[in-house]
Amino acid sequence: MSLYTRLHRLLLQRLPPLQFSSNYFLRNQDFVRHSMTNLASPTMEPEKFLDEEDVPLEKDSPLNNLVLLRTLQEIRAAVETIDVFTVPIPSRSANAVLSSLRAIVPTSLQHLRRLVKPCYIPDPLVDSLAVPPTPPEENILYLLVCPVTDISEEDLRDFLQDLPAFATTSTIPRIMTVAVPSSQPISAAQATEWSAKYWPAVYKRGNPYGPHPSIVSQALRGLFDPEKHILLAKQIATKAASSGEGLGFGAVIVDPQTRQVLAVAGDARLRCNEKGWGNPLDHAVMRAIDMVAQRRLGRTQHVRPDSKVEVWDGVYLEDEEASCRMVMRVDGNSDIKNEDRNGNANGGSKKEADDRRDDSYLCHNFQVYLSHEPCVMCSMALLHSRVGSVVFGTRMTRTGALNAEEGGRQIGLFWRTELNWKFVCWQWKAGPGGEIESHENVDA
Amino acid sequence: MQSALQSATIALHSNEVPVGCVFVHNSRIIASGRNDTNRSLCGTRHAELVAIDKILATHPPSIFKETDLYVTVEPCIMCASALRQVGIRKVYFGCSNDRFGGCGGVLKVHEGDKVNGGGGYEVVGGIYSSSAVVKLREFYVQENGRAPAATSKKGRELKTDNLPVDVDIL
Repeated sequence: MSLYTRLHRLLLQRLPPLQFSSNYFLRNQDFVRHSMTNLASPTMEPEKFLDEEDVPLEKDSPLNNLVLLRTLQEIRAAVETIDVFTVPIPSRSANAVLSSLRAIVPTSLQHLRRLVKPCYIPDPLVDSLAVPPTPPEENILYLLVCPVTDISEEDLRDFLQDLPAFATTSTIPRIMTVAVPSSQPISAAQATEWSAKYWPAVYKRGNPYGPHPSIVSQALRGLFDPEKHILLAKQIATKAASSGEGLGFGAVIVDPQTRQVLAVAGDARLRCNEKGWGNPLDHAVMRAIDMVAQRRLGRTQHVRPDSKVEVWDGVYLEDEEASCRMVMRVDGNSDIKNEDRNGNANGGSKKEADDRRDDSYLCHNFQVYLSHEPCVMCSMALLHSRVGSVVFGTRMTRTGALNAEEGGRQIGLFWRTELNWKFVCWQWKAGPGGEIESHENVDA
Repeated sequence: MQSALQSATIALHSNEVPVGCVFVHNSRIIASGRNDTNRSLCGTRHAELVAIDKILATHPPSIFKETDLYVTVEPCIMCASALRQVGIRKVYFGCSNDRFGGCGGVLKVHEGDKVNGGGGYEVVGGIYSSSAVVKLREFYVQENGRAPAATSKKGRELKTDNLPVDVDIL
């Protein structure tokens, strides 16, 4: 099989964007040979990657209410384009031109097709690139050369002109400039969108700018009773506000392994001590994290030496009877502890001090449900506590530290490369309980 | 700052990451704090928050606007935000913290916010920073069976097991 036929078949095989394709497209001979073995076997490896996240959620799944937060880097990456050179070359000399080019410009832009048939040039570029309307006598391919910053147009022209592909027919290389996304797409959908708008793109099934799709999928499907727990967080928020002890913010921490609700806390910054003032830092999240620690410490020690910490909103570890009552009450009202009752054979509430597992560390991989997007302090507290997933209800555009989208502070604290821990984060849109309005300038 | 370093030393001897702080009001130390995360099993018990708790047991929150903090290491993002929310006047710190720092290290939580009209506080770094760094190094050369890193790395390994081989996760 001639090299041309191989290339042709590869192109047919690999365009439009394949979700699973490797991005080493036509980088060298080795790859061509490699691909041939793949082509020969219809059950090539990627097939088995058709995994969970490609299976859509059931229509009535509560998980449909969850909107995954984009990371700061993802948002930045989605908008940046750079100018690159492209030049039409005769198909049969494609490989020769490519190998020669490697000597003068570095290989980059691995998320974009290096060689593109005229029919796959995106519509917006067809006119400016003067793509021939019908296949010409001699097939051409559009070669994506390199960013314009890598080489000057004159140097590139001189170089190309000396190559046999152009020298033998003494044609002048038609070098053009196009704007393409500077970073790789983070989903198959984005690759398809870019392929139609900028340049045929390759989705690598990876995500250098945020959580890998399989991590997101695992975390999403690992959420334990999200609907109940977000509702509980909202209920506790309402309770905090109506009690006058705090603002209308609530937090719930769940251990997905034991399927136990470990902490339920409302905001308590207005709760006065015996001296007559409150602690402005008694936010729902901080209190919930304290509660988890207090459960582990048991009755002999206090998380905060100067103030007693509850293990449930309004319940102290010392007060065992009350603790049972509280659990029962929540049982009756919202069914929250049902799982506990079934799973732990009635022992859940009595043994609260004993449910610590020796291998557990802080809030490692716990799931957190919040009525509102937390402030900088609370978001970082969650990060320090190594939580696994966070779901919040209302976005706080002025004070929230998790969202990275425009229209807020764009901190995106849940996934930042500088920090030593990252977690997956969703906003829960709509019900149950609706979004709770709040003073926008307040730190939740 | 000497007192803050002493608190850090106590933390070191208690097998805690050696960070210490003192809050100063009218030239008088009103509270000291040291890192307490390992004992309390609670990742938020940083020196600053421990000391703020102590202050609030005897003083109203309004005292912070006339109070300065001296802390051996740049406050982390969480503490920087907490200090802002209690309304601290000024923060002096030792070494900067390029892993978690909220006063310039990673984020600049202390800076006034144009949208909300101020609310920030002034920071001065680099005071006895080498002593603070040495304290931290003393801690990190120790063998620590409960080292958080070990646990979290274990967790990360577990996650990669389920991934296709050709991707880099982080």
